[in-house]
Amino acid sequence: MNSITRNIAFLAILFLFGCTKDDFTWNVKKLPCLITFYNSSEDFFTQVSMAGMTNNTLGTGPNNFYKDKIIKVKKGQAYDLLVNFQTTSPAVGVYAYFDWNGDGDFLDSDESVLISSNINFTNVTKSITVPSNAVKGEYYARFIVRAGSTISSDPCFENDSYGEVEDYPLVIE
Amino acid sequence: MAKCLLLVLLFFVSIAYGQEYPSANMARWEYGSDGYSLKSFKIDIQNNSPYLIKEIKMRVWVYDDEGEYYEHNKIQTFKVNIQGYELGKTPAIALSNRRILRYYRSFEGMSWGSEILDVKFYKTPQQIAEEREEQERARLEALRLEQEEIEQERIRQAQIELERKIELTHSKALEFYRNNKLYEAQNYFKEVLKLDPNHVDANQKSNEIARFFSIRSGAGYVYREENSNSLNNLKREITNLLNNEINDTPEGSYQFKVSIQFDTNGINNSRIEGVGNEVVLKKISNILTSGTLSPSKKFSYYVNSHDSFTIDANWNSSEEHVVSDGKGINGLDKYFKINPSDFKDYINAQSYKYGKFNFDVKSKVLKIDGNQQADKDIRLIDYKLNAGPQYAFCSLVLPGWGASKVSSGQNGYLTGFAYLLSLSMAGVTKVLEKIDYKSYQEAQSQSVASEAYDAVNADRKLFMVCIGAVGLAYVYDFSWSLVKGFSNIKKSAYYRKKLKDSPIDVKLSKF
Repeated sequence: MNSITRNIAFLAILFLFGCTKDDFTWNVKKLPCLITFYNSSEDFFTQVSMAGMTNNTLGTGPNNFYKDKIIKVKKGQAYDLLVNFQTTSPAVGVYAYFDWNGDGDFLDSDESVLISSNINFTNVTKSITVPSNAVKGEYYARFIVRAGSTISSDPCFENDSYGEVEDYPLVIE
Repeated sequence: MAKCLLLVLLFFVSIAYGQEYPSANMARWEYGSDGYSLKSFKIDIQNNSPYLIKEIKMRVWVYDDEGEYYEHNKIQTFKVNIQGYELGKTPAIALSNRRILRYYRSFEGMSWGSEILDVKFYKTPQQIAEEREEQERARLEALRLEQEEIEQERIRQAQIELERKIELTHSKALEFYRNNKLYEAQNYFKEVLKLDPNHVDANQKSNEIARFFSIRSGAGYVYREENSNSLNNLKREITNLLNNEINDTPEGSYQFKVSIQFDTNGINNSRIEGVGNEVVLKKISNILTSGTLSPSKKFSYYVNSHDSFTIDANWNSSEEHVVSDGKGINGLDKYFKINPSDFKDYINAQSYKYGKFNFDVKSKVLKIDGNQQADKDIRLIDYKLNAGPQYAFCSLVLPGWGASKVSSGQNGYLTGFAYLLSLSMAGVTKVLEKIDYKSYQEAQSQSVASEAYDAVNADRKLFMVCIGAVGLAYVYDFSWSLVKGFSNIKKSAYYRKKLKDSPIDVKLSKF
């Protein structure tokens, strides 16, 4: 009976406020940490493609969130990640980050993947395996091109002047 | 001392003369021109009568306290003019000059004494005439009283004689009356009435006998005047029969006439007219002939008597729907509007007083021999609980509603208020959360984003608390309403239990 009451109460609130299930979690889902670059005009992604999602871009800004480009993956399966970028810098560090456990960061051991650190390899395909212990849900994936003197793998490091970050919704099923 | 003795003597004399004899009160000494010698003295005479004293004869003496030395001791007659009941003085009584010397030798002074020997009264002609008239009046009054006493005694004796004669005649009349020898009794009663036209018993019985002769040779007696108890018993039995008929059937009507007829042999020829129902006709006929009606008898003889009366009875039933809830006890049907207390009193007297009550109201009118009675029988024929556990589901629509339903308006308002308040706060916090979340999304630095995130989370938590309160209101109100609803079922069970056997009598009346 209590479950019926809860469901009816939930429906009432849904009806009243247009809420979703996510509105009834104790904490709001965290967005990825905010980083930006001073200049993205020379070092940027031109394409990111994974699990059926392809995004062709031309460096539209140092910080981009493509909320409609959703990367949908399933636990335990491997997907090819295709990344195209351009750079004019002598050193580059291209990284991909996946919040597999949905804790709002990319700090866990298997959540950070180096795509390329060679300026001559600007078209890279990498196999990404979704961990079997990944948590189902809607999270984020981040792709960063860093150019210049520092090519840190820190997904939140924003002290660089050149580069681009692209964020995508990541749905783990 | 001597003066005192004299006064006592005068006192007795005055009594002897009926308080009308004059008395000498005191003497007034008059001194000579030298201021020392006693020249004369005057005695005050009190006239104790209504008549004028013209002359008084008295002995007057003067003495001192040594050797009763009498200087003056004479019988004198004085002409006076003392009005009735007035104090007057005798003329001056002269004393010799030697009294002066004696006066100085004495330490006690001088005393005096007097004795009234004779008095001449003077009466006016009017006084004399009045006295004679008074005497004559007294004499005539005494004579009148004496004659009156003689006359009264004569009348008393005559009255005694008359009463004795009336009593004797009346006794004879009663003896014949008791033996039903009415002609002889009537003659004696008339004799009594000649002697005393106001004799109550003779008047009553004489009229009774005259009426008996008249009625016997005419239309006969009216039954109700001779056998009122029997007639009342008959009406009572018919009324009881109709009460049963009314009780057993929801509606109906009877109009019929009962004719009572007894002949001089005491045979009951009474009948009923107008009853179509054979069963009822038989029942009433049985009552008529079962001995309820006694034949009319006068002076030990059956007499013919007759009477009739009509009976008009009709009754019908209707349903009254009454709802008892938090708004009170209300009904829309006609009898509830006329007399709601009939229903309210019953419901209020019950241990559980809420629900939908369906009453059967039987309205009945009985007119018997011109006397109309109207009344109502009220029975509870159906009951539905309007605060059962099903109303708990109202709480799922709006918490508090179900509690209000099952408690008949006594509870639920606080829960409803808490629910609406929590829901409103949830809405407000949700709007705030969305605003803060937008700020979070649009933050241009991590520190601003972190602050916005904290704000969003605070909004979210408050929202969750409010939603929790909303949910709690749902759960609490639903559970409470459910329990209360089942409790109400239990409390109101006796209605259903009783109604399963028969309608519940609320207000019953019998004609």
